[in-house]
Amino acid sequence: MLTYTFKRLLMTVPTLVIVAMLVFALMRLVPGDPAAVMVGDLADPHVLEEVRRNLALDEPLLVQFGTWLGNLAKGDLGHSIMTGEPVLEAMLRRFGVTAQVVLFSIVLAVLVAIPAGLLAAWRQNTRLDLAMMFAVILCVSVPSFWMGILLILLFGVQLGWLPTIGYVSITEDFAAGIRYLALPVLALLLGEMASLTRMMRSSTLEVLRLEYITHARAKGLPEHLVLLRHALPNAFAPVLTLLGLMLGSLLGGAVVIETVFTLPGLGRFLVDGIYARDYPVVQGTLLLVAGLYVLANLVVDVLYPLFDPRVRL
Amino acid sequence: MAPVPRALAPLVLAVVVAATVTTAADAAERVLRIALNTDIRGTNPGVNRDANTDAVLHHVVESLVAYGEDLEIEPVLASAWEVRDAGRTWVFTLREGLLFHNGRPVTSREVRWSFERYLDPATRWQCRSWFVAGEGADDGSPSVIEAIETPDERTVIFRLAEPSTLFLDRLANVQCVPAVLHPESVAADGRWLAPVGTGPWRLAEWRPGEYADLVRFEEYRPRGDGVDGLAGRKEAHAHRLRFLVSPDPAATKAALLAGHIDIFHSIPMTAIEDFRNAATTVVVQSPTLSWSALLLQTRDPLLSDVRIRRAIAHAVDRRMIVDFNTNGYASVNSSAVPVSASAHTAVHDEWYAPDVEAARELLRQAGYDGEPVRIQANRKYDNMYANAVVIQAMLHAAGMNAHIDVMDWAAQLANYYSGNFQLSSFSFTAQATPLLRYLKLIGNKDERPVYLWEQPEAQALLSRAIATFDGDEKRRLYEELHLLMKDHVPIIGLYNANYAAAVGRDIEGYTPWPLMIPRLWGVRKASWD
Amino acid sequence: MRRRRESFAWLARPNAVVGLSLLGVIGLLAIIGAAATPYDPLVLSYEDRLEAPSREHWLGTDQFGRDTFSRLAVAAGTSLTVSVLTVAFALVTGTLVGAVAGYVGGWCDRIVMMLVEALMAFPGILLALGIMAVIGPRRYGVVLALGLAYAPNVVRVVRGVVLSVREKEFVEASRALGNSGAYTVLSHVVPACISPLTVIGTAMFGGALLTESALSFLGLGVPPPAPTWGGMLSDATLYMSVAPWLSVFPGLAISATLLGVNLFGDALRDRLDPRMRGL
Repeated sequence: MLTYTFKRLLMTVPTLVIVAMLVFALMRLVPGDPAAVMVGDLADPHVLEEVRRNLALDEPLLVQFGTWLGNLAKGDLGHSIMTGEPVLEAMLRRFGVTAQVVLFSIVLAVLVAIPAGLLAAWRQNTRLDLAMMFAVILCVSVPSFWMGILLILLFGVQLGWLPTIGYVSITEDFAAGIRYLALPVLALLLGEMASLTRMMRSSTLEVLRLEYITHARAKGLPEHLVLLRHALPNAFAPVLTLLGLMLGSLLGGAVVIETVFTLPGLGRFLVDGIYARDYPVVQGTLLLVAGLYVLANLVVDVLYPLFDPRVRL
Repeated sequence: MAPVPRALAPLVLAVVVAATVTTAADAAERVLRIALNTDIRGTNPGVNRDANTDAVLHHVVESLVAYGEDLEIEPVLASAWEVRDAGRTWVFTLREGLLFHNGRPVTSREVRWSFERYLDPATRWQCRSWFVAGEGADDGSPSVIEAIETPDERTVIFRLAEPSTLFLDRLANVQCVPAVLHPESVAADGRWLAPVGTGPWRLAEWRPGEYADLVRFEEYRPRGDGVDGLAGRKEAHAHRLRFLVSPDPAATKAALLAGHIDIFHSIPMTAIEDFRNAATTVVVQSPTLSWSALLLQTRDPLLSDVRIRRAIAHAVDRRMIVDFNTNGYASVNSSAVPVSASAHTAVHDEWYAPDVEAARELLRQAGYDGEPVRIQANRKYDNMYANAVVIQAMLHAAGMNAHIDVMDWAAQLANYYSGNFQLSSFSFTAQATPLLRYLKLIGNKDERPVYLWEQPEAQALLSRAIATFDGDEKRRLYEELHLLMKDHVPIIGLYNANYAAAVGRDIEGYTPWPLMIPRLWGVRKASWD
Repeated sequence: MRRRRESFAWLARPNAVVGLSLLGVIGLLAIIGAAATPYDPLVLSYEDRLEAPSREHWLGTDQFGRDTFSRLAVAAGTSLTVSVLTVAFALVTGTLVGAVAGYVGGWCDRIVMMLVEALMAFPGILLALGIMAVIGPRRYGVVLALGLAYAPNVVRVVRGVVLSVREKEFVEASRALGNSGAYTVLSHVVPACISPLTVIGTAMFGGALLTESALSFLGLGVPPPAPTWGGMLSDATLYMSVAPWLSVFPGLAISATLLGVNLFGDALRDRLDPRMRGL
């Protein structure tokens, strides 16, 4: 298993290199340059040129790419054009925000989805199952920014229970932090919960018809033990894969949620970076995002055999 | 699998408990919260900046002079100034008893240090080229500083290479902010640390992506009487100013309605009625010098025909655009001279009447045959997008095959600088004098593709306007420029928008003004005694 | 006869019925949009701005005085076309690339899979954002952007199927009969791919609809004035208190379509997914 993990880790290197090249090429193809965004419509043209020179944007593209890669190898991601912060530092701080929202919501979603999916599968085709599946589908059918704004209007404005703007880290003030996290977590939670419940239901259905379950039942094992001890662990494996995909893509930034709820997360950092043509920020952040995605999937692949005894590494 | 959920149970419990506990509000401390739609770009005045950065820094730093409410230049750190040698030598006398945030007195040494720092290329000050030989030459009006002298603690003398009519305006420039700073603002190696200025608040904390906090500078002595532009009396009622980043206007609005912010600076004018109808907010507004316009690329094969450009001018009903997109809260204006400026005479109101038939006739004469016309716009600035929507419908009604290209602001701005557009729905940031506005418009596109208007006659008129110190002469030249612009149609000016802010009902003393920069001095909550 | 009845029985299940009828309503809306709307969806009217639903304007008007119902109907066509084309684009390119990679194998396969990995590691919405910014505001730029973001999934599935088919004996047999290798693999691969691709396809359709609306919210959807539901919804968020109908109806349209697609997709999956059959 260790050699497998190591091999997989090595395989991520070419992926990340391709991502780095893609990002660099994409950003330079996009019209617009950071100097113009910085000076707006006010500057004299030669001011624009001076700013461009200061940012080393007048060098050939290959030289710029080489410089960036060289610094990257030294662990230097450069400085943000927008704010002058070191990219690595800024990125990690914003990742902390995204991670809080995503982890809270995913943990809560798993806590709801696993029993719910198990129950729905166990009671397949009953009214309970149908009602649950309908609710689940309803949850994935609402655009997240709209849901977000509706939540703000309801809990923030109408009821006045929760803050509508700003952010406090739970590491600084846990109680306040939770209040700021509540709405974004809720908005993310609904969609995640729905997909996970669905996956849990279908994988449980698949497991329930396997021989060993029939066997266990035949032995006279109580139904709840059949479900919890025999069905659950095996049915969880495909859910784990989905979880990995979800975690991988969400940690890379829940852009829309972060915009609506004014969270200083990684996704908004990236989008702000794209809009401002902040090359170091976009390049660095996307590399981190891709790395997280690859890593999350790697972890899932390594953990998978623990749940599904049919798979051996 | 079962142990995992059980292990997480305490966490869930904690969530539920914490969510029901309300935190104590900042009851003791007087805080004003203002929403900004983007983060500030830095704390180094005039170096890495945008409008929001300026808005924050004007509360922290001050310059020798600044624009007053009526856009006349008023003293700030200087108590008086004197012009010698027909505009070549400028002598400033500093006020007495001024203190920096670190408690040190303001003397001529710091003024000189500040300007030497701005003029050093290593500072990367955006407006350096105005004051340095050889670099500002192409805009025809440099204010090259040859020497800065400090004969005593309270006197600063600037000696210019040539007389400059624009020197004082440049010292008061709201974007470049040539603020007087204490040398402790930078590290020993010249690296920027934080502004140690003279303003009524000082920078306490900037959390990129979240907020910038300013706290009151207790030693600040307000002077003058009443709020007067960026000069005048600056009474800091709030202990703390928090500028919060909130990119989505709908979410910002919700925060205002919920009382979680106090001031929504610069609300989208298209939605002004929505704010006016809200019970808990008040909308305040003021005319501004910003200028919304439709830019026409005179070098485009289709638009190089002046008849097509005139047809577009006839097709575009400016009053209608104002009604649609600002609920009527803007002044129709096709002249580069703002309606609120004293130089805006009746001549500047002359323009093409909205007339679809005349537009069709001109198009027919020009042999227009359904060639597509594309209007560039963006969603970052709601008014540019909304203007494009209405203009597209109007051009369509006049028989033009018009389309909108929505792109992100960076792309549209890059196209503006490279001249890569047919029509561009644009909005120019406020310029304090018409001269500065014309300087940005007129020039040869071969030299700088950003110029919109390349008639030699216009260039000649502009040079004369730059050279003269005579106000009446300037006024006459502006009139001639406008008539020439009407004939040539390189730009179809639409309106000078109003600036509007929505504030909570308990906020007193927030006054908007033509340069739009929010001013939090003199602002208080009714509940503060 | 019996077999036939069985193969269509799934259409009578509640999921399929509700799903299909929702899609029917939306389809009807799109047909109205294409055929004749009560008002021109692009014509502005100052007098009619932000009117509440009435007999003249069934679903009210927007900030430019345009009729919401007419725009909703025309947008149905645009939004559905964008989603369908996105799915089609992803399926076609994904299938081609996946089939070639799986069939040719070797270094070609390895390079393709590395690219696929890299593309999948890119968050979809950000890939779309980047591509939209590069190719500029073309009406169907969204299709290309989202299609590219979704194609890697298809590549993986098709490649997997091709690899498994290639190993099978009947391919050898078919080749021995003188058929070309590519033809043989294709003729066996296509049927084997249909059911997983149908499942992915319905999921992608919903995803495309949602992502288009999110892109509009971020300012980069289908360029106006052509109405799309996502664009209408994001425009309306500013007018939530004076004109709630502006956000309610496009929101409902998106949700109803997604609900329809998801319910129908569920029923279809139960029918097609071999793992699910017989449950």
